[in-house]
Amino acid sequence: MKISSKIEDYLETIYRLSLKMDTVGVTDVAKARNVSVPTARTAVNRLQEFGFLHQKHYGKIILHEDGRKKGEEIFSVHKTLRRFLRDFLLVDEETAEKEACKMEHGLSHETLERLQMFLQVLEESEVCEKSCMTKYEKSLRKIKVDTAKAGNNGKEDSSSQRELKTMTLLDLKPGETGIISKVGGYGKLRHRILDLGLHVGESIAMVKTAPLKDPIEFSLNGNHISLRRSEAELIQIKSNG
Amino acid sequence: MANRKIRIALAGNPNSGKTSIFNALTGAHQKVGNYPGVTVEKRVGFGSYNGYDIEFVDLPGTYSLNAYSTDEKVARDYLIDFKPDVVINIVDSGNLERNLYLTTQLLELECDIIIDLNMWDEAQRMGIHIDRAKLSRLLGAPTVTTIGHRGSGVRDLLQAAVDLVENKHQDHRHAPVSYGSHIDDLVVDLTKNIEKCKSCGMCPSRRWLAVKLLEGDIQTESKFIKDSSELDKLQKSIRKKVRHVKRATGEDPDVILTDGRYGYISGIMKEVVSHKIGDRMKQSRQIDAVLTHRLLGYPIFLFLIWLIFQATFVLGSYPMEWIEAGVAVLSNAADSVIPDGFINDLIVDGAIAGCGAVLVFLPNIMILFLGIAALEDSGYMARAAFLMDRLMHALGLHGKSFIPMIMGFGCNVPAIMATRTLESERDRIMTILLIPLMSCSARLAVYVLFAGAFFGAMAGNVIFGIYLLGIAAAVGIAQILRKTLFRQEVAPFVMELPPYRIPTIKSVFMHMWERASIYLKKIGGIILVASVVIWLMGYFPKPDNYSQDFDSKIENLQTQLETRAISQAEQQRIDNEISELKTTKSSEEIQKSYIGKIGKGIVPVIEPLGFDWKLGVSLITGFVAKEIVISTMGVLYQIGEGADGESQGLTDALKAPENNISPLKSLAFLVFVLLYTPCVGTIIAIKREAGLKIMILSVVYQMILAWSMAFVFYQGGKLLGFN
Repeated sequence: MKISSKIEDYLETIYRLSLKMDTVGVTDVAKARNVSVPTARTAVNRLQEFGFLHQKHYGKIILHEDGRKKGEEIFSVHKTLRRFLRDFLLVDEETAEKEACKMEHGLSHETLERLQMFLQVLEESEVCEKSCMTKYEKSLRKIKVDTAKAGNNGKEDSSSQRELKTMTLLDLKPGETGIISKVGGYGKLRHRILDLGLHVGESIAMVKTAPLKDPIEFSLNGNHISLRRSEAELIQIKSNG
Repeated sequence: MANRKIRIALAGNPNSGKTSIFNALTGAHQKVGNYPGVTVEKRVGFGSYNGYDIEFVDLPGTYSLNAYSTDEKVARDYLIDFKPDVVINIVDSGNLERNLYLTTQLLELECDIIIDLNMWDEAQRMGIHIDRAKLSRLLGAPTVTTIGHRGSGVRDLLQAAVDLVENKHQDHRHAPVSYGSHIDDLVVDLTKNIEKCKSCGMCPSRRWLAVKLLEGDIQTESKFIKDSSELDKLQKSIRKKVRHVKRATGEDPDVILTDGRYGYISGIMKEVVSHKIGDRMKQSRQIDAVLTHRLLGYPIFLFLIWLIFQATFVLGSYPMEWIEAGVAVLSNAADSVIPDGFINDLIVDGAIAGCGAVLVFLPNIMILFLGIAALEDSGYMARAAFLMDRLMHALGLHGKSFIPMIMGFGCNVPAIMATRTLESERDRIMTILLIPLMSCSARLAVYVLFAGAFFGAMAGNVIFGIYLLGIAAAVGIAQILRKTLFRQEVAPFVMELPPYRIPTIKSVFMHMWERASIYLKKIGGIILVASVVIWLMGYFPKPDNYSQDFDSKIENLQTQLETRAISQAEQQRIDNEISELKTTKSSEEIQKSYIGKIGKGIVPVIEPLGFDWKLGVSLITGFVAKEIVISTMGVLYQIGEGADGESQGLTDALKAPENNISPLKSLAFLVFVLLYTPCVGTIIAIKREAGLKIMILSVVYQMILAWSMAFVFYQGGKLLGFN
């Protein structure tokens, strides 16, 4: 008998809760899944029918070895997908969590295995990870800015407003200041930037651009530093005002 | 008792006044050379104090010791490999926070450091108060205040160094930098792992090595962990941990480490510095409002470049004339003292002429570097790069490449030496490879001669076109280079725009003298040898038999001159006859010489370009210097020695129908002269600044370029029906 994806999700939840707390109760499950206690209880009962667990008094849930294994398996799939979404596609944490749940049931075992392998290869060859990711981050930002602009042309919806907040040094006009929130880039360039004092939390002001608009002069902490546009683009800031 | 020897290294940020401290410490007792294997300047100086013989080493100015740039790598390797007894860390007191970043890294390397709070006067003026005693205590290092350009405080510095060596200083200890719990735990963990690792014995500090491994510093890894399986194991465990940190904090470890260092520093800053509001850049900003102004920036920049160019090559032409005159006097004197024969020829035409060829560059080099030192010391050089970077970056170069390239139009040798201002190896080498395409003033003499002879009223346009062709070739070659040899590395521009300072006369002149002495010692000697070798190749072998007995004929005529009373006109006629005979003789000699043989040998190669052997020989002698192309032609076309571009004789001889030079051929010749290796001096300068490989690459690509462009011009012109 095949268990439904919904029930699988419950098993995963119980497994994850069991990692965090000594005893898992039905109410905990209900809370974690954001459902009513009776709904959770039905699901737990189903799982009990499959033999993955049994319940003690007061709704205390004991996972069987089978259930633990199955739960761990589902959770590891979940982790892989979440990692893929969050660390590689750079989707925000919340969305990654939610969508990993949706994806984990739809993929075949083989596909998942390949994905895992793929991510591992990427992670282990740092050069590849770095150069690919830099490019990806760059084009991602461009899309964000474009969609934000498009959004502004039409109706200003809230999501594009939020995207606009990831500004880079390029967005500063002469005299404006911002606070560095992320230093991108890799290797030599990034170290040079960091060594010169451009690190997270530092306040930085745009002074002026060169006559041909590139490079740009910035001032921070009493030092003046010039960056090419392509380099300034790697440094994300939060607006100061 | 013999003096004890100690070694002191000077480390500090660029623009922290390191060089002026070094000069104050060592006076004139300096040696400038390169660090082994790289073209980063190594300055060593000597002094003695209180019974100690001290060797000072001025490390390249760096912001950190990450070894991401050659300068940083050199500085770090020196500190690790040579373990100087004391490291004087020169710090700009007005910019303490940023400068202390390097200090933290020096401490981590467990160097015995002295903090030299330099430019103390400037900090005082800005109203910055630094609690020195507290700083000493917190950093565990003695502090000294100095004012570098006045040389004050230098004795204190020496005393502190000696005290440190004798272990007298109570503040001295090594305080580790804390990076916050996440990283600190990891560092401790890793340090333990490293202790177990057998092949890590070489490293100066295990904790430091652990930090470097966390930063992902590949060079350190391979330098200290020779056993690849151990390295592999370490790397694997590090990667796992790094990923863990990344997940927990959302940041790479190198960012956290940097943050940790800056956090540590800002803690110290709060304790020791009380600021009145002083903006060290305020004045500089006002100056920049003009100097990097949207509209005024370029005219001012071009004016300054023009000024330096004029000073170097126009003002420099006077001492050059004196040198030439001096060489002429000397060679005449030698000629009259030494009896005729090989020794005479060797000394007069070989050695003295060779020395002349070396010395002639000296005024240019001295004036140019006077200018460049002033630009650098004042802080304008960074602005020049700021202004020019957009244009130069489009060519795959750096903003700082511009000034050396422009100077190339005057003379390639000082221009190549001027590429030192470029920090990145890649940018420097690319610039060095392109400079020879900037048509130098020596080549102009050849253009003037040929264009004047064959293009009449169009001469000016032709010469201008040749210059443009050189620039176009540079643009083209730059594109090819960056798509082939210089593809991988992209040199970041991230650069400090330092506050403007008035350069001190002493430091500017010391810089100038340094360049001049490098040129004389390291480049001049080889140019001299090369000139003599090429001269010898033109001198030997002597022909066994001449077409006529020149010597007896000349002697005959000379006795006629001396013995018989003759009329003015007769005397004139005999003089002319003698000089004609001499020229014909030299012409025969050069034909039979090795150079003549090579010239004739390469005829099959240069025939497609429309050149005959005479032009071929001129091109070969042109390796010494482009001026020699003309004097060789003077000999080959038999119009007497000492020909120059204005001599009507040579112009007429070139145009003479029997020499068979058409305007098209002459144009191809000019293209070749523009593009092939400029001169021995340039080749030697390239070898000194970029190494043998780049020198060979430069010569080879220029030969190929020159040949193919001349081919295109000649054959293309023929196809189009030109003559």
